[in-house]
Amino acid sequence: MNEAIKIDVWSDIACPWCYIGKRKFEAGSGLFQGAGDDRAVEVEYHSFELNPETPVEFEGSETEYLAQHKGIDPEQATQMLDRVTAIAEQVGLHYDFPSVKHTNTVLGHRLIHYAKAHGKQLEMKERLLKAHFVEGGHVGHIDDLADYAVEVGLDRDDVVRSLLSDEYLDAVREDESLAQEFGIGGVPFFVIDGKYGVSGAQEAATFAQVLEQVWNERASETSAESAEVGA
Amino acid sequence: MTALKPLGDPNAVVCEGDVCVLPTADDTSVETPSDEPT
Repeated sequence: MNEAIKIDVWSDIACPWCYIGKRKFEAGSGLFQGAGDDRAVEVEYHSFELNPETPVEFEGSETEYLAQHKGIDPEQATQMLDRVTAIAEQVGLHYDFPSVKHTNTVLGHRLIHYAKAHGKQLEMKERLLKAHFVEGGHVGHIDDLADYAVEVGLDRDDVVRSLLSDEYLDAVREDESLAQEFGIGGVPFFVIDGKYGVSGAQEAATFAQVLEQVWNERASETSAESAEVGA
Repeated sequence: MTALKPLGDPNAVVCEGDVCVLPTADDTSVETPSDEPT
């Protein structure tokens, strides 16, 4: 039995390429695992806040935010978001930017850490991304976050207790320092087996190819080690 | 800094800073032909 390839993913919730990249990674990982020989992956998500200064209650639409921060006119911002929406559609995600509630994501990241401690990290990450980009949900309010947590099987009261405290804030900060240590400036970012870095929403075929390459390099290293032991 | 060996397409799209790097209509760097049905 071979050991699973470990993939540590840094991403934010308010990050359109992170959700698209997640889908592409899942497709690529599926292709890789389908090639057999016990090929397996273990995925862990890590926090990355693209803009920690974003207020919880942001007044305005995603288009307005984008136009303001990039210094472009709203029409150009709308065109950009339309283009991202079309790319998301290609991977089966129905982005609805007009309903996106722009907000601070630190509470969402703390909830994902809470979920990890309760064996539900992947489900929680997916639920928050869907709420933010597809459903027009608010991922900065404790009540809304608690509702999403219940949907993935977590205890509402305990989630509210946790979010009202500073629980898991240190875990968020630790992820962010690790990102700095790795030199990660943009997300999504995939660290494979702690040695290889893959930046951005790569194509599914590229993810599959990268995983296969890592798998083969591991096999070569194992063979070389066995040969040394046998010599 | 922990050095990571880079793999994959170096031009893949990312979000960085306070807004994402979003493609404009004439930006072809995010075309995804491999996702289209053959």
